[in-house]
Amino acid sequence: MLEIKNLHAEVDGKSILQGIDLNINKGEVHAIMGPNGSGKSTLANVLAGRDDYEVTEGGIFFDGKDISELEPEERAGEGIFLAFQYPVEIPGVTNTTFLKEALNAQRRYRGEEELDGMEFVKMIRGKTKELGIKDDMLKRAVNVGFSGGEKKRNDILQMAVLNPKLAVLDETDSGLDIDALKVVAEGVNKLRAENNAILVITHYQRLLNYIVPDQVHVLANGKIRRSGGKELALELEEKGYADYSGEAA
Amino acid sequence: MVTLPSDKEAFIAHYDQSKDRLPGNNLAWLNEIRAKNIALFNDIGLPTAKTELWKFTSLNPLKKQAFSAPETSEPAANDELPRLMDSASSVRLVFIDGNYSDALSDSTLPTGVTMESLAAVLDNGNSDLNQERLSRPRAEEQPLVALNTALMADGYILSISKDVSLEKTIEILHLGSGKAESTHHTRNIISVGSSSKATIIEHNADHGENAYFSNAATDISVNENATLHHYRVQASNKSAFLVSSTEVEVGKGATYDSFLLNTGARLARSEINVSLAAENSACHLNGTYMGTDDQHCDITTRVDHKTPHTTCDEVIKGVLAGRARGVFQGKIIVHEQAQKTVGNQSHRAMLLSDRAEVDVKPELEIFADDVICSHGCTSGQIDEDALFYLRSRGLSQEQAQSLLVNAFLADAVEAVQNEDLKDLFLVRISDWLENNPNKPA
Ligand SMILES: Nc1ncnc2c1ncn2[C@@H]1O[C@H](COP(=O)(O)OP(=O)(O)O)[C@@H](O)[C@H]1O
Ligand SMILES: [Mg+2]
Repeated sequence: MLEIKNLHAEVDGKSILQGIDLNINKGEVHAIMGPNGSGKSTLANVLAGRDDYEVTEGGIFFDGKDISELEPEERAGEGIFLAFQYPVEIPGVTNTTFLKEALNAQRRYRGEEELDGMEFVKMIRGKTKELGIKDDMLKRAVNVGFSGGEKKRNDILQMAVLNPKLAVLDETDSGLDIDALKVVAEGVNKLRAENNAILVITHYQRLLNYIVPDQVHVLANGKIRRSGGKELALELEEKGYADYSGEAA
Repeated sequence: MVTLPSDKEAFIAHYDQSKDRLPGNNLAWLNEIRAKNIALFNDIGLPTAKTELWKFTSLNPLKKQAFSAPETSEPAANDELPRLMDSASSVRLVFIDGNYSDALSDSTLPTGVTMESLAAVLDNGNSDLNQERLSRPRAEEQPLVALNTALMADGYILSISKDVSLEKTIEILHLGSGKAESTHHTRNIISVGSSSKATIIEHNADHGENAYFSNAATDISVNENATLHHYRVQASNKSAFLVSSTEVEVGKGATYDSFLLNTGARLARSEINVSLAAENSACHLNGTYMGTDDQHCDITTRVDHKTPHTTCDEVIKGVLAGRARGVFQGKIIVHEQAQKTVGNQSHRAMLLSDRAEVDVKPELEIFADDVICSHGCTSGQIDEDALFYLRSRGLSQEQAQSLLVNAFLADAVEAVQNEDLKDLFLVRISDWLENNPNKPA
């Protein structure tokens, strides 16, 4: 589904990703782990199409199509979803308005019928119920005044509504206590399906106890240094990242 | 020296040409006031960058445009007249090119409301309108008000008696007929009787795209325990020059609540001066403005807290695209005896293009010690992180921008209590976003 080939990217002329190769198939969950500053968020942003990041070499293929020149909204339409490390607050825009506009924009992109108000409300009520999210969250402005845990749950709700083919979760565990983390992981697991894939980005192993990956990759200094099964995460937890970059984790 | 078509001399010539046909020209006291004010205008001239209150707003574009003397002729009837509120919930008064049209205005006013046109009052000469009501305390600083006083040709004198609560909104349409080069110096007086409540909405709109110059002066008194909601939708064409000066006196326990929505005009300058000289008087000076191309929007306010226990809230938000410019000057003066004053002012501008600009000058002058005052001015670009966040969920650049700008402006509209009008303002904002190029340049 996702093929990243020899991907190089830079920000402000500073080279950050230095030849990433990664393949993710339908139905799989991959984890990328790495020390702070190794380029994890950069990779996530490059996948989502943020324009401050420039791809200088290599490419990103999604369902066989080169998406490295697509706008962020086009990538969303193709089915890529990024749960941000720091979810953004949007004052004055309610979750409902935001989700409805986003979903319909994606449907238009794919040439699907838009949902009308009634259909949307019915669909979203189903999702909040399934995820155990209170309906009043829908009336609140996107992430404004949300606790860390609420922001991450809001991401999960967005994911459930938009139903992406590939979800990239950037440090979804950061700032969460263990209970909140379990809730979020449970949400993610509910959304796991044969036809979609998940890329979990994390510094710590603990999230991977709850979202169990098929493969784990170690990113350090802009390159994937090692790949393995879920046991690799445990090894990293024990030894840290010192082996990979010559710098302390 | 190059003379521009509408320098000071041109307006003085307008006075010479029209003084014998202006309304009330048989009233000696009025002729004296007009003569005194044109002399004052002659002394000061049009405002320039050196004029204290006009530092950021240049009248050069106005000076480059030819204008003719005010006309008092009957306005021509027009086919379609814009209306903001439906006729069930409002009565509409119509002014065309600054002149009142009795024929086009709704004939029945709500009980307790009287409206006379200034031209009629001056021509009949039988009103209690006197020198007092036509002189401004600071005319020396307001050359355009002096010009208005010299040339005023029409306007409304609207009185609401005491103890009435108007259910219907009074809508006042100021329509430009499309006549080129016209000038309108309208003079309006509103008085709201004690313990009354009224809503007035003024609407500037046009047929056609011709440049004209509207120079209005309005004097408002809100008497004891009364509330006036005074709203304005300034949606003139983008060649128009729209200058207004509003002077408000708020009585004991009374409230002047205003909201200005500006999307129109080549140059719009709205000056509002409020005097809070009685205990528990309050004012709200809120608004939003939107500009694009080479539009210029100036909001200049001054609030004088002259007595203890007075309150003022001011929330203004603007969005500028293209080469548009915004100006906000907000002065709050808390006089020595005005203890327990509460004054909160905020102005926030969002710039959608690199060439858009905003100038702000908030001023707090506090001479009392027991007061709560705050002010804050911010301006900046749209939040790039928010834009990317929305786009990463599928919204196009334009959609995302529109959603963010809309939310930014809608926040200021929250201050409007009347739900119908709140909706109307929100629709104006979304229409603006839909119809104006809002891509960052
Ligand atoms: N917008 C940016 N401008 C400049 N440098 C950046 C920017 N984003 C990331 N970087 C730099 O790129 C490197 C990788 O950062 P990041 O991808 O955030 O790492 P991680 O998510 O693994 O902690 C860091 O050295 C960081 O300082
Ligand atoms: Mg990161």
